[in-house]
Amino acid sequence: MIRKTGFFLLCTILLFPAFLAHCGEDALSIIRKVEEKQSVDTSKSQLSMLVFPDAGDEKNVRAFTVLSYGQGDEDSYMEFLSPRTIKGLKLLSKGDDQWVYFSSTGRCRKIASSSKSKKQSVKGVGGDFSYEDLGGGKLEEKYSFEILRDGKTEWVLEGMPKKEDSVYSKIVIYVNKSNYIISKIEYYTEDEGHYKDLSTDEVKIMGGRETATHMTMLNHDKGSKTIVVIHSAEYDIPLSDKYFNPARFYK
Amino acid sequence: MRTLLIIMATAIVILIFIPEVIYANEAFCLYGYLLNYFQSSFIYNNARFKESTYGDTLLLRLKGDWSPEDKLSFHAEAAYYCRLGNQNPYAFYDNLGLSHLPQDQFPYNDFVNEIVIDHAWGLANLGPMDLQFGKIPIAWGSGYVFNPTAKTAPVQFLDPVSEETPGTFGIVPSFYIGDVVTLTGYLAFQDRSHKTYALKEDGDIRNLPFGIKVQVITGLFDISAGIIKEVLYAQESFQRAYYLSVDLDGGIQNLGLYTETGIYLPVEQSRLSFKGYNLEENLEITTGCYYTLVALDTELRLEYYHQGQGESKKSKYDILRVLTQEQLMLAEDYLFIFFERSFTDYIRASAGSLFNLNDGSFVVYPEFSWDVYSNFQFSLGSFFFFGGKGSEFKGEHYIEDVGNVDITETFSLYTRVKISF
Repeated sequence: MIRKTGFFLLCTILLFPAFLAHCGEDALSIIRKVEEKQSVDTSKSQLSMLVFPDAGDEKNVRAFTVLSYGQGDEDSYMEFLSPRTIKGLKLLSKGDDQWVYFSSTGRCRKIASSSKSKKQSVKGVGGDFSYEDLGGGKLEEKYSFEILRDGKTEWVLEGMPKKEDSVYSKIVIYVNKSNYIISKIEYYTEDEGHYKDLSTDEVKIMGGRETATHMTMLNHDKGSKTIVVIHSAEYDIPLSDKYFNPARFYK
Repeated sequence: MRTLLIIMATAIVILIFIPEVIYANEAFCLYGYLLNYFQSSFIYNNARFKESTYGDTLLLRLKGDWSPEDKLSFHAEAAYYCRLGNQNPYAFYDNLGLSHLPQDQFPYNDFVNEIVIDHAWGLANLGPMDLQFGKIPIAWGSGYVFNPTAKTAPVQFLDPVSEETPGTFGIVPSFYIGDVVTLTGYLAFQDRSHKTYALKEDGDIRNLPFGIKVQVITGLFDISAGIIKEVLYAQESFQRAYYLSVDLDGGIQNLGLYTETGIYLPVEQSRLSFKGYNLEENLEITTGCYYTLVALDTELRLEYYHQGQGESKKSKYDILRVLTQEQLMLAEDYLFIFFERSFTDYIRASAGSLFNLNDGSFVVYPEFSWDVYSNFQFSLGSFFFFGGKGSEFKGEHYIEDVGNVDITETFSLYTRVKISF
C-alpha cells in the first residue's frame, strides 16, 4: 500500500510539470505555439495535388505537380509544373494581394482582393484549395479563437474571423497536444454551412522539422476531395527575392 | 522545311520515350501542344444561303526551358502551322482581290506550311536588375481584349487558335527597387508589322521602337506610367508615333478593375507641339471590370474600348488601315461583354460579345469547353455576326483600286482539339 501510494506520488510529481504545461493554456497561447511550430523564415517544397471531382471515385483523378516557396508568414510563391496544359502557371501571394501569371499569354494579372473571388479554386486547376487557402497569413491575425473542447490528446478550437470580408464564417481546428500540429481544420461558410475539412493524414520529419506530408481536403458541398502529398521540403534556406516580387516572380 | 519537320518530329518522339522527371529549377524541359482548329463558315444574304467555306489550322508548338545556372534562364518556342481553306491568309487575301501577285509565281515558297521560331530569349538575373534579350513576347498592359500599350507585335485579336504573344527582337532591362518600384523598358529591333522582308531602313535609328515605364505596387492597384515609341511599316512606309502610357490593375471590394491607356503625343522634329491637338482623337483607352458570382461559379467581364483614330461614321470606314494594322478596329467605341460558367472544374460554357457602339453591329461567340483529360481539351463554338449594311461586322467595305469586299460571314462553327505534352 505504501509502495503503491509512493509510486502514485512519484508519477504525479514527474507528470506535474507536463500537466502544468497544458493546464491554463488559453486558445491564444495554443494558436501561438502552433504558429511558432509552423513558423519558418523560408521554405521550399515540392508537392503533388490529386483532385478527385467525386470523392468516392478513386479512378477519376487529375494530378498536378507544384513547386512552392514561402517567405515568412505572408509571402508564398507557387509554380505548376504539371500537367503540361498549365505548366508555367505561377501564383504569388503577399498578404491580401495575389498575382497570377499565365505563361501562354505572357501576362501577369492581379487578382481582385475580394473574399468571394478568393473562395474560388485556381482557374485551370480546380480542386478544393481556393486562392484563400493557398495564400499566406497568420491564424492569430485572421481569427479570434476559443477552446471548444479540451480532450485527452487534442484541443478543439473555434475561430471566428476578425475581418468582415473573410472567405469563411468560422473555422474549427483540432490541435494535437503532443506536438502542436493541426490534425484537422473544419471550414464553415454562411452559404454552405460545414463546407470543407482539411485532415492531416501523415507527419514526417523533413528538412529537420515535423511536416504534414499527406493531407486531404474534403469538400462536403461538392462531394469532391483533393489530396496533397509533400515530396520534399526544406526550411530556412536562402531564397531569391525575385520569387516574392510582383514584378519579377514570373521571370 | 523538310529538315525542320524531321527535327521537330524527332523531338516529339524523344519526348514520348524519355521518362518524365519534373523537378524545381530543372536543367532542361521540353514540352508543348498540338492543336487542330476546324472552321466552317456560312454566308447568308437576305436570309438566303449564299455560300459556305471550310478550313483547318494545325498548330504544333514546342517550348523549351533551360536553366544552366541559378541566375540564368533560356526559353524558346517554335511553332509549325498548316493552314488550309478559309484559315489560309493568302487564300483570304486572294479572295478579297488584295493579292497583287499570284502564288504560282513563287513556286519555291510554301503558302500552306510555316515554321517559325516565335520566342528565343535569355534572361540574366543580375541582382537588382534583370536583362532579357532575344526574341521576346513583350506583353504590356492589363487589358483583357484590347491593349493600347502593346505596340511591339501584330495584334492577335480574339485569335481562336493561338493565345501566345508573338516574340519581338529586342532587349528588355528591368531595375527593381525593393518589391514596390520597378523601372522597365525595351528596345526593339523590328517594327510592329514583323514583316518578313528586309529593308535598309530597318537599321535607321529612327525606326527602332522602344518603351520605358515605371511600375509601382500599391495596396489596391498596381500602377504604371511610361513613354512608348511605336514604329509600324505599313503601305510602303515607316510610321512612327509616341505615346504616353498609363496602366492600373487591381480592384475594389469584390470588383476587379483595370484600365490601360495610350495617349498619342504630337512630336514634330523631336519636339512636342500641341497646336490643334484634340485629346479625344488621340486617346486610346480600355477600361474593364470583372466580377465573380461564386454561388453560380460564373465570371462576368466588361471591357470598354475607345480608339480616337477610329471613325464614328461607317461611311468613313477604311478597312485597309485595319488590314495593315495601322489601327485595330474601324470605329471609335466598343464594348466587350463576356461570361463564363463552370459546371464542374473541367467543363465550361462561355459567351462573349463585341459591340461596335458607333454603327450598332456586333458579334457573338458562344463556346463550350471540356478538359477531357488533364492534357486533352476539346472546344466547340461559333461566331454570329449582326449589323446593318456597311457596318463593321456585317456588310461590304470599299477598298480603293479593288472595289467592294466582304470580309465577314453570317456565322461560323468551329471545333478545337488540343493535346499538351
